This record gives sequence, C-alpha cells and structure tokens, in this order.
Amino acid sequence: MPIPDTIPLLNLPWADALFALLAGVMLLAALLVVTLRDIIRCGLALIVCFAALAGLYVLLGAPLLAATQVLVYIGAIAVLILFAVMLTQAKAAPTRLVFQTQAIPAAIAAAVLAIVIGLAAAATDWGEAGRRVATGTDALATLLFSDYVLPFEVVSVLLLLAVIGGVYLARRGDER
Amino acid sequence: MFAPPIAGAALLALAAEGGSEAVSSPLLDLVPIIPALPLAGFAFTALFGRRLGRLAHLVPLAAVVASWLIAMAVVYEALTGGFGEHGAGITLWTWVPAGAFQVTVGLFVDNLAACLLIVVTTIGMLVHLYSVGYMAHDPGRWRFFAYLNLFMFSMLLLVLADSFLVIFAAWELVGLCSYLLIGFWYRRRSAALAAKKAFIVNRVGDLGFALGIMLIWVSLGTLDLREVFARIGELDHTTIVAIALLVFCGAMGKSAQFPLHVWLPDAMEGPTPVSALIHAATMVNAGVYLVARTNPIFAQVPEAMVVVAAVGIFTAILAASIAFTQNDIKRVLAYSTLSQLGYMFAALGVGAFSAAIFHLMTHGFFKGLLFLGSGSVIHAVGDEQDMNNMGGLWRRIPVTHWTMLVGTLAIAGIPPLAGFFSKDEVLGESFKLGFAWVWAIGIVVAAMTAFYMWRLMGKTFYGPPSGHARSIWDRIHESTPTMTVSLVLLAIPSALAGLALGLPFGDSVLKRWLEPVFAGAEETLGHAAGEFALLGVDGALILASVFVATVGLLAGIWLFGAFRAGGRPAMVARISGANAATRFLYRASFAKWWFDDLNHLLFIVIGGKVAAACWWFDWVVVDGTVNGVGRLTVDAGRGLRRVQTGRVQNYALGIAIGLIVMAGSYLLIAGR
Amino acid sequence: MTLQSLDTYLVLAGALFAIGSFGFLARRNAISMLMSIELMLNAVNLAILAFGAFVPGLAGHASVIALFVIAVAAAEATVGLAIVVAIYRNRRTPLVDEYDAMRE
Repeated sequence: MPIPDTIPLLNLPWADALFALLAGVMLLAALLVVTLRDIIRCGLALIVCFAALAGLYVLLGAPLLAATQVLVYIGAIAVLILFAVMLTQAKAAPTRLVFQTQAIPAAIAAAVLAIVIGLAAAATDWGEAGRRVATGTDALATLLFSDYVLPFEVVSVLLLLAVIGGVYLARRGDER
Repeated sequence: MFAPPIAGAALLALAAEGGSEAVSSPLLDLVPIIPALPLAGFAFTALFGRRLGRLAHLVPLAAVVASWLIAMAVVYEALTGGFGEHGAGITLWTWVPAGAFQVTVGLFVDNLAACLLIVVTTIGMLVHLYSVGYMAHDPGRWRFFAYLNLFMFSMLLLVLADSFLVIFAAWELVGLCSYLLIGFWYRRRSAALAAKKAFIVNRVGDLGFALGIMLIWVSLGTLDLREVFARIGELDHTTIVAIALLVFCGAMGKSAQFPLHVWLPDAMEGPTPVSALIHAATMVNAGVYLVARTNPIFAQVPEAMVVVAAVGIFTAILAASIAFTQNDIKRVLAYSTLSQLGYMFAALGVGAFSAAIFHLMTHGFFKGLLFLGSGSVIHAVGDEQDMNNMGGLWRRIPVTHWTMLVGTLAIAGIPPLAGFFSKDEVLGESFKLGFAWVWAIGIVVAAMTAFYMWRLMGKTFYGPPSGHARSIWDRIHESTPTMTVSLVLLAIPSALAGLALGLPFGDSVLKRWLEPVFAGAEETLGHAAGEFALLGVDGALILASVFVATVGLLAGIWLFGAFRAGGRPAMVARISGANAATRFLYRASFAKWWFDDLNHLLFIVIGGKVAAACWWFDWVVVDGTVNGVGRLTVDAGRGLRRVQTGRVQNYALGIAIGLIVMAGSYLLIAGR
Repeated sequence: MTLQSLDTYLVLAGALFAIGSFGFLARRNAISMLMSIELMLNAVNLAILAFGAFVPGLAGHASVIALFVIAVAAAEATVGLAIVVAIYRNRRTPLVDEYDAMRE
C-alpha cells in the first residue's frame, strides 16, 4: 500500500508532522533544562534539545549545520558542561532552592519577551517566498572560503585564544 | 593733649564743601565745630582715657566748654539776624549719592536751633563740670566722660541737622548714649535692665518715626527739611495726617509720653548727672524739638495736633498723680519731668509753639538744677535715695538747699521765677486758642506740681532727721565746689530766664525770636495775633494759675513742713487712708497705675507664649522640613542602594526589562 | 507546507530564546546559567537558518553565519566554564547569588 501524502484523520503532511514533533520535543527539553533540580538531568535534557534542533536544521535544508550541531554542541559543548558540573559538585545534598528570588519577575519578563518577539515577527512582511530553499555543501564551502574567509580566519584565532584562556583559567596554579 | 581735638575740628570745618547759603557769615563756618568738638573729645577719651586715670575728665570738659563758647557766638549771631530771618545752613558732604535717592549731611541754624543750642550747650557744660566732682571716686569715670561727650555730639547733631535722615541717625545715637549711660554701672542688674527697657521702648517709638520718614520719602521724594516743609501742601490730607502721627510716635518714644512713658522712671538707675542731662534737660526734649521743627507739617492737620495735645496733657496729669506717693527722690523728679513734658506737648498741640519752646528752655534749667541738687543730697547722705531716710538737711547742706528751693519755686510757677512765665504762657495760650479742657487739666496739674514738689522739699530738707540720715548726722557735709558751682550757675537762669525771655507779656522776647520759625504754621492755623489784656482775660488767667500754685504750695507746707517745722505724717496717713477711694488712689499712684504690670503681662507673658509658639513652629515645621529633606535624601539613597546587589542576574533582569520596553515601544510606535 | 512558514519558525525561535532567558535570570547555579546561554544561542541559530530557508537570496549566507555562531558559542562556553571552575575553587560554591563581592 503506498504511503498517503498526508497523515490520515489529521490531514497533515508528513513533513509538517515531523516538524511539529521536533518542535515539541525541543521546547519540552528546553523547559526541562531550566526547571529541573538536578543539574545532571538538566544537562541531559540539554542534549535532547540540541538533538531536536539538529532535526529542525535538516528540515530547514541545512544538513551540514545539522551535522555540525550534533558534533560540536552535543559532542563538545554538552560534554564540557557535564565535566564542569562534575568538577563543581558540592559534597552536600542538592540545594533547597532551585530558583532565585527574582524567578517570578524573570518568568514574566521572559513571557513578555516571547510575546514581543512573536508580535514583531508576525507583524513584519519579510518578503518571503513560500518555498524552503536548501543549501548544498559545495555552495556553503564556496561562500565560506570566498566571501567569509576573513571571519573564518578570525574565528580560528578566537578558538585558539579561547582554548589557551580556558586552560590558563582552569589550571590549579597556587593550590597545594 | 588738646591739639588733636582742635585739629580734628578744624579739619572738619575745612572739609565743609561750602554749600553755604547766600546769606553767609563767617560764623557759619564755625557751626560744624560745635558738634565736632565733643566728638573729638569722645574719640580721644575712648582711646586714651583709661590711661589718664584721674585726669580723664580734662579733655572732655575742655571740648564741651569750647563748644559752648562757639555755640554762644553762633547763637548771638543767629538771634541778631546774622543768618537771615529764616536761618542759614551749610552742606558738609553727600552721604548717599544713589541716583534718585540723594541724601546730604548738612547743618542748619535758625532761631529755633539757636534756642535749643543755648539749652543743650549750657546745661551740658554745667553737667560736665558737676560730674567732675560727682564721679570723682568712680573707677570708670573715663568711660563716663567719653559717653557724655558722645551724647553731646549726638544731641548737637540732632538739633543742627537739616534733613530727616540725619535727624534719625542722631536720634538713634542719643538713644544709644542713653542706653550706655543708664547702664553705666553695668554690674548692677537693675541698671542693666533699666537700660534695656529704655532702649526697647525708644525703639517702639523709633519704628513709628522711621515709618514716617519712609512715608515722607515715598510721597515727596526728598528728605531735606526745608524742601519737605515747602512742599508739604502738595500731599493729600490723609497722608499728611499719617506722617504727622508717625513723627509724633517717635517723639512719644523719645520724650516718654503715654504709653511709652514707662522707661523714664527706671532710667533713674543711671548716675544723677545723667538723669539731669539726658532725662531732664536735653534728650527728652528731642521729641518736643522734633514736633516744633516739623510744625509746618502739623499745621496742615489740626486733628493730629489735637491728638498731640490730648496725649500730652494726659501724660501730665498721669505722671503728676504718680509723683504724689513715690519715695525715691529721683523718681519724684522723673515723674515731674514726665509731667512737664506733657505740658510742652499740650502747648504744641494747641498751637502755642513758642510757649512750648519757652517752657522747654526754662524747664531745662530748673529741672537740671533740681536733679543736680538731688545728686548733691544723695552724695551728702551717703548714697541714700529714699526720702524717708532724710530730713532736716537744710542746716547741713545750705547751698544745695537754697538752690533747690529756687528750683522748686520755679517749677511750681511762683512769680517772678522762670517757671511762672513759661507755665502761664502755656496755660494762657491753651485757653485763648479755644482748648479749655487742656487749660482745666493743666491748672489742676499745676496745683499738683506745687504740692508734690513741696512734699519732696519737706521730706528731704525740713523737720527732724530720720532713719539713715540721723545715724550719720555728723558726717553730712556740703558737696565739693565743682558741684555747688554748677548748682548756683543753674539757679540764676531758673530765677531770671523768665524775666529775660518772657517779657513783655504777649509779645515776649522769645516770641519775637521764634516768630519767623512759626509764622507760617500760625498763619495756616488761623491764629490771630491778639492783644494782651492785663486787666482782661489774660490777667484773670495769670491770677488763676498763681492762685492754684500757691494753694498747692500751702497744702504742701501744711502737710510736710518748712524749715524747722516738721511735717504731719499722721495727718498724711489719715488723709490717704480716709476712705476706700483715697486708699485706692494711693495704691494706684504707688503702683504707677499698674502700667508696668500691664506691659509685663502683655509682652512678657503673652508675648512669651507667642514667642514659644513661633519657636515650636520653627523647630518642628521649618527645621523639620529642612531636616526632612535631608533625611529624605539619605533614605532615598539607602533605598536605591539596594539596587546594587552585586549579583549579575539582577542586573541581567534589568537589561531584559529594558530590552522589552524598547522593543515593545518600537513595535507600538513604528509598527502600526 | 502550511505549518512550516517563516513566522512559525521565528515564533519557535522566540519561544526558545525566552525559555533560555528565563533560565539565565532565574537559576541559582552558575552552570545552569551557562546552559541557558547555550539555549539562547541556539535560538538565534534557528532564527538565522529560518531566514536562510525562506527568504530568497539568503540561503548560503545563513548557513555560514550560523556556523560562525556555533564556533563562537564553543569558544565562549570554554572560557565561561573555566571561569566557573576557577570561582568554584575559590568560593567553594557554584551558586551565583553568593558571588556578591562587588556589592558594597
């Protein structure tokens, strides 16, 4: 039996359904990151969020970015975060309070911010075409090494500096 | 020692910018020297007096004597017409050159000023001479003579001034000197309080005077005396009434008329020469002089003149009633001064200007004499001032006694002494100008005057000695020649001034002198120059006043004795205690009609509460507001400081909120 | 295609950004704050790529820029975590509300 074009009963194209799934996972994971008590679990939720985002990048027609997301964010940054969590764990039980005293104003501010961004986005005419455009890897490479070669070089220096700085900051200098 | 003052005076004369009148006489240039000499004497004594010790009196005395000599020359020139009929003036320098507001300091001499000069310089000189002996044992005598010279300067400046502002400046200066001299023995609390009282009560009057001067300035734009008098007719009636009453307010303060009379009796705390000079013969006359000088203003407003007369005659009888029961010899004389000043203002009020000035001159002489004599008495009985502790002194201090007898007869109004002429002229003019009520009250006061003055004589000099006097009887002796000479020199004009100035009746020498000064006013008031009818109204009036004076005198002699005969104290007690009315009158008189208590209640008690309320308001409301602003700032700062938590997340929230506000507002404004 | 439009992706990115900022402002642990920062950066990346997908002419550029964002985010995470570890060694606590030495 051939796969129908749209999900039955919902009359939803498969791509849209996938999109909805990925978006939902991403948002749920993000919420878990900011609300869970245990930091390790927060970190794991972060990884899930990154993964969902990678899926969304694929839907947006940027497969290289999706791969980079998985490799760098999940593979490097999230692991780094987990290492830092391990290094800064207090011996005692997890603290009583998860949130600051200003959590409620912060929540309100965040909600208003979301609304403002949403309104701004909806109100503007972006002059878009309806169709998504995909980017090929070769087109990206061409751009990277012709129009954006300077930022490319600078970013590499930046990364070098960041590594050196990180190593220096984190060393156990004068400690017995 | 004499070079500096004379050199200074000469310099002052040379400095005169010579704005002399067209009628210039060489003596006019000497006029500035008259006040300048005592000023130089004051400066010298203030700087070097302490070191001179026993000789401190020489320079001040010399300055005053020299001033007297020059003044007599100037007076002679003025009264014989050397300065023209309406007097002459010189301008010394411009004091306030402020665009529209120009005030020059200048001196002006006319016949009125000349008469005042006679009184001020003569009595001033004699008081200085007397003080040499009286203050011989006082360690602060250099201060005394310095203040006396300063006072002479101020008084002479006042008499010779030619603009209201200079008069006011000199007015305040004499007030200051009065304060300094009343409180001369400053360690004595009662003296310090009396000095303060005098100054403050004077200030109340001065406030009125200052307002009057401001009103003159605002209405006429000038403060020069002659200009003001020439143009006073331009103003509307109410303004002139206001000016006149305000100026009289100042006169009331300085000359101690009701209700500002309360300071004069207390001023007797000062040394006796001070009482004689300031509070009998010169400063208290400043008010009379002021009203006489501003007679063109008063002549425009007869209503104000009635007020002046009423206040004057009321003060006269009020003071006379109080003098009946006082025991301090100087207090009796103080109240007597108040009473006689009342006479002078009554005369001014009814329009008898030259009569007022006549009485001013004669009063200066015999009251000065009486005060100096009382000082001699006090000196003789060892600084005792209560008359009940005296008696029988007429044998021990003859010169004092006989001169005081002359003074008493003069003040009582017995012919042919000076007081008779001047008092009779005051009373007679009151009657003839239509103020019968003034005459009636005045006659009663004349009788009272004679009575209480003889009471003073009787208790002090006659009968047997009592109390303190008896205990030191053998040590009582006459005063030093410097003191007695002054007494004798004052007794002469007390006796003869009337004959010299008051004759012939109706057109006296003094009246002719002062005619150019007062002619304008008398014309405005419509006083016709009447004939003097010795066998008519005038003779009757003279007889009436002599009669009541004699009656009062005889009553006094009967109750208080004469010469060897003592008084009848039992009879006195019986009369004053006869019935409830007399007892009340006695008590009222003794308590000075409770005016001091009234003032105390009004200003100390009630005024104190008002002041406390104001203090509360200032402390709580005003200070509270100011402090509250400070506290508000501090509290606001403390509150705002809590924004600085040092925590990044709090700052980040601020950034987030700012971002939302900016984005949202842009959305609202630019989007739709 | 109707569900996936530029507006949807942008709203999504906005929501993710808001969640990230809430976490940044409200969590006590410093590492949680850094995780929230990563969320925000990812939201930005999503928005950039959405533009690249739907606006004609931006396709390749969007990808390149998003790549740079990832690189910078990595550098920033490195340094930030190093700092947190260093502070932790000094203060023995990972809680930012106790890092208030700048307050007077």
